[in-house]
Amino acid sequence: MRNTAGRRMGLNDLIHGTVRLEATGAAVEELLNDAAAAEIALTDVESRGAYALRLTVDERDRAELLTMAERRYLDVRQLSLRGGSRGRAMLRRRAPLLVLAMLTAAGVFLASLFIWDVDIRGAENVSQGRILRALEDSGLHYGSFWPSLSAGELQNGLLLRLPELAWASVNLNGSRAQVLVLERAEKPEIYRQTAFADLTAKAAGIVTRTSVRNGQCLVRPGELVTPGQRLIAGTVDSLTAEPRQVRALGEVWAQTFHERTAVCPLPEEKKTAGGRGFTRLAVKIGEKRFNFYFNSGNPIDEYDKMIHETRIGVDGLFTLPVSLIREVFTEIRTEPGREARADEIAARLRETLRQSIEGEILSETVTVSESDTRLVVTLRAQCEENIAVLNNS
Amino acid sequence: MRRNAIVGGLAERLEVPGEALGELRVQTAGRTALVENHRGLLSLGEESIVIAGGRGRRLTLRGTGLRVQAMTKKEMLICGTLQAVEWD
Repeated sequence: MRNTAGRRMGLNDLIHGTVRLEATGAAVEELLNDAAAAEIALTDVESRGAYALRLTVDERDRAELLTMAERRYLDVRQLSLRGGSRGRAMLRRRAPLLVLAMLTAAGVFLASLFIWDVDIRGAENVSQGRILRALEDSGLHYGSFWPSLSAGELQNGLLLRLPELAWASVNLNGSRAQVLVLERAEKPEIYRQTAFADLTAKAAGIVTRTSVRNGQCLVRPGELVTPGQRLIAGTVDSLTAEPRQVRALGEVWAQTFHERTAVCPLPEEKKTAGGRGFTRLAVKIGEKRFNFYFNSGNPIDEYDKMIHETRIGVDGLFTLPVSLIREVFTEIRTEPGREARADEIAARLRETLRQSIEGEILSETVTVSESDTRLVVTLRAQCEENIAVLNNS
Repeated sequence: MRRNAIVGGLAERLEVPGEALGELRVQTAGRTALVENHRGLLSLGEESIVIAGGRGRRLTLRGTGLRVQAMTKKEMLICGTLQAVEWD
């Protein structure tokens, strides 16, 4: 904000008020000397020729200056008035606006004292829901008063309630709580190298090859083995001494046969995205939701819904308990899809089998059968895998 | 003039600044001049400002776009392109 002389309006101008005056007459400089002698501070004195000048004084000195000018037979004209009584009158006229602004500022300040956003990072195996519940039990939840929370206590509470976590850090930054966790690494199997143990078959199969690093091999390639049968013994015979007890180590590869079956409701049709769509908007304040649309009872079963939620706030500074929600609906087209469903289930069965064996799938057959309401998918696979597992008993 | 010489000599002997004894003093820095211990403005124009210094002394500031930025009983702040400072 600038006054008529181009000077930025300061706090003094705003509170006390300043008046821009133009004085005209003979010996107009004498007005300046009189004012200075009376200790009236003058600013922005500007000559407007031999008989006129402009100056700025505080509003409270205006009357005295006018009296001085009258004594000198000078004409004084007021050019502008800034701040002071005019500003106060303006504020009085706009009191509701001022109150609203103050209430908004107070609202933002109050909102920044509560937690409205919990950001969890570093969790892979422990679900965010479990971490949120553990935090809630420790005192941190949506809308909690963060100045009363202790980051150290929250961290300890989290570690006590979730033994899967090795380390946790809780940073309370305004309305946002950032939780960093480090999951505990799984404890490796610890065993004594010299402890006696056999290797037995975990599945039936025909042995194709063996690899023994410790112990005595009891099977040969081409031999049929049954589940639980000893494959590599931990007792090693000696020609010159007593049999030695060792921990059997090695691999026994065999051709195995697996069958996996899945049953699911008979699919009527397959849904694919596409077609027309529409968007709905809503605002969530705290836990309350306000919709900006009507006819919310319209069926939306034929639409795919994507929800985008944007929280209001300044990242790293504060977060308000207000979210803008945008729901994008895309029409779904339906197509018959029993084959596709069967293929999908077969692929899942294949993936499950692949993860459960230590080897590879050599060949497979998939059969699909239907009953009245069910779809049955069966995967039969021939695999080559290491069937030797440790047996400590 | 004799009194001015006495005041000047006294200030020099006592090793105190002249303005402490009420002497007119002007300091310039760029487009600004600060005049202290003035006795009033004799004339005001955009090209020259004449200031009374007491005991008959006068200070004339010449330049372009001169204006009195602020003025109190003892001090005066002058802005503009200063070209000359003359003492009479």
